[in-house]
Amino acid sequence: MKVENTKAQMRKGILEYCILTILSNKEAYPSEIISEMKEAKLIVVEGTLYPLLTRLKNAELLHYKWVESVSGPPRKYYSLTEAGAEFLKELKNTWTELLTAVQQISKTHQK
Amino acid sequence: MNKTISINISGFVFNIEEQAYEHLKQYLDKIRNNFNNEEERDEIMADIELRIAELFQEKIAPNKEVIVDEDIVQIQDILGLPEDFASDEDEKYHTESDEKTTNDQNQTTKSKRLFRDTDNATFAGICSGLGYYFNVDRVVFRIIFILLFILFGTGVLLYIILWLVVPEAKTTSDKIEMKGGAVNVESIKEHVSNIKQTISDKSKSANVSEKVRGVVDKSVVVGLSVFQAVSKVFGVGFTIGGIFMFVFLMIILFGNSGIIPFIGPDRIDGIPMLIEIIYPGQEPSLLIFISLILVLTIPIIALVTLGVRILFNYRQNIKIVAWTFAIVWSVAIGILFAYNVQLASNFKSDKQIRYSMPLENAGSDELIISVMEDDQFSNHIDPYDNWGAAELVKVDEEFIYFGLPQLKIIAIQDTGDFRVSIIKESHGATTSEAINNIERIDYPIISKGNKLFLSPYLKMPKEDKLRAQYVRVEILVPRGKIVKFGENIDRVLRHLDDEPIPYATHYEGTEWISLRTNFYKKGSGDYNLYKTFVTNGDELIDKILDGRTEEEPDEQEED
Repeated sequence: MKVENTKAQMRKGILEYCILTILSNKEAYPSEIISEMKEAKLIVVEGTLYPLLTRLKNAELLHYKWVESVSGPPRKYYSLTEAGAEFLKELKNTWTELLTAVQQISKTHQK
Repeated sequence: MNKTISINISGFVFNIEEQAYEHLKQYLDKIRNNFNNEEERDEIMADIELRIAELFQEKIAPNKEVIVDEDIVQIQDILGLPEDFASDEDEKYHTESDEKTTNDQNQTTKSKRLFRDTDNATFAGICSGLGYYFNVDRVVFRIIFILLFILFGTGVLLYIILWLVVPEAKTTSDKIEMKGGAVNVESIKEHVSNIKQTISDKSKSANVSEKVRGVVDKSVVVGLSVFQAVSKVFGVGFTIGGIFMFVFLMIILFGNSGIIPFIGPDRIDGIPMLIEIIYPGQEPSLLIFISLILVLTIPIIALVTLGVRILFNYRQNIKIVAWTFAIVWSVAIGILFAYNVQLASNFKSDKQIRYSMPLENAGSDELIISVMEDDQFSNHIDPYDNWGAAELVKVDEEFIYFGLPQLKIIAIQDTGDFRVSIIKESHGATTSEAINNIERIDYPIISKGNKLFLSPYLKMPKEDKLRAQYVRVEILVPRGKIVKFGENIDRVLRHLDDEPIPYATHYEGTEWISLRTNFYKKGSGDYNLYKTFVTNGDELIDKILDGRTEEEPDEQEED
């Protein structure tokens, strides 16, 4: 078992959660989402995001609309669907549960 | 000095140095290899290209018009390494991805689709879209459609169908798909180098199981492409067949009134006229005509639509349109049905009246039968030229002309005078209507001395409509008397049936003696005997009997 794989899997779930969270209170196009995530040091490169957005959209958790841009090609503005909002709510619960669980276990086993 | 080429990303054109282009292409290809699901991949790639276009736009400045290698490096820094695009879902495919490259390449070249280009539209942007699809200037398609429009309006039909079926290029990705990868030297080069690469890759990594899987994969691909090819053939067939049917229909419906006089009979002014003189009522024609057109064209439209959908692989929903068409078609059928029921009732009664025609000199030894000049049709009607009685129907402001009177000349045993009678027949809703119709049939016959002039056509008032009116002239020729055939007799006395000799015979100028119940041709060496002369009767055709054949009893004599 490689540590890389485990890391990647952990990150993947968290990335989805973060994307949904960012989109939960506003519409955004990929670059905006990326800059927020970059600030949080969650991802460093944009490439990771595009496949995720497409898959979330295909899973009908997200939808998008085209918005013309003043200075370039039109942009896809993503937002949550109802199913996405529902999904996010569940993730949030799980995340809080996990967080408490991880903290508790880490604490008891602290050396 | 560096060579630059111009590329199109997401519908935006950039000038890029050749080396930078190579790097960008490799980069995109590597990213593409991360994704296995075709649909997903196309969408992700379109998003990435869109982002690249955006980043390029930022790099371009008034004093920097060309994308250089350094820009590509920066873009890679922003977007990440090709591996960064992969998510765990793809990892299990990752080892296969190299092998899949050829398929992927094929599919990307295929991903060009027909859209309506509303940005450059005159009406709906179909010509422009077709131009992109076939890599031809849109003007070419505009000219083709204008030409097709002149050809019985086929262009309009096709345009409307394409308008219905072809989606508008709304989103950027639609526009990219519409413009597709233009076939040029670059893309061919690209394609070839890709094939080379896969071949070398394959030879490196060929083990038995992969080989087997390769064969299976290939046969699936071949199977699919055969299926696609067959369905394309059907698509082309439906489309072209439908268009031909439409042209044919237009010729039948409008005949010479079509914009280009193509084929078509010159004695009938098309279906609208026929409707007017057949269906009851004052002005039924427009409604019936429209219904008729709808009943006939809707299936054709459906056929062409199906063809186009197969051909360009459209799956979008046209249920509403389909239902509308189905309802309109049913209504049109209903209208036609109602009119035809009414029409049938107009044919319920059938009446026949025999009029006796006094002759000026009935007692003479010979009767010269001629036909008057035909000022409505022609003095010479080639029996082969007729495709039915409809050709011999003509209508003007007041009258209907029908150019098929019957003539029957009968040899009788008795001696005495020539006798001529005219039988007129018509249908009608009631007997009195049928009689009224009969009385209004105008069929002049002139008797002058021993000459008899027949009219080549019958004439009836237009408001009487066509009710199977028909006229037969019967001439009884007593034993020993002579019948001479004069001018234009072949216009009326002619044989439409497939007996070889009468076709070759022209009666004009011949003389016949009535002997017993047959006619004997004067001055001819042969002994052919003609029982009766009849024009193309629906019941009686003159029989050629040679001398040895037993005579059949002639029922007509009992009349």
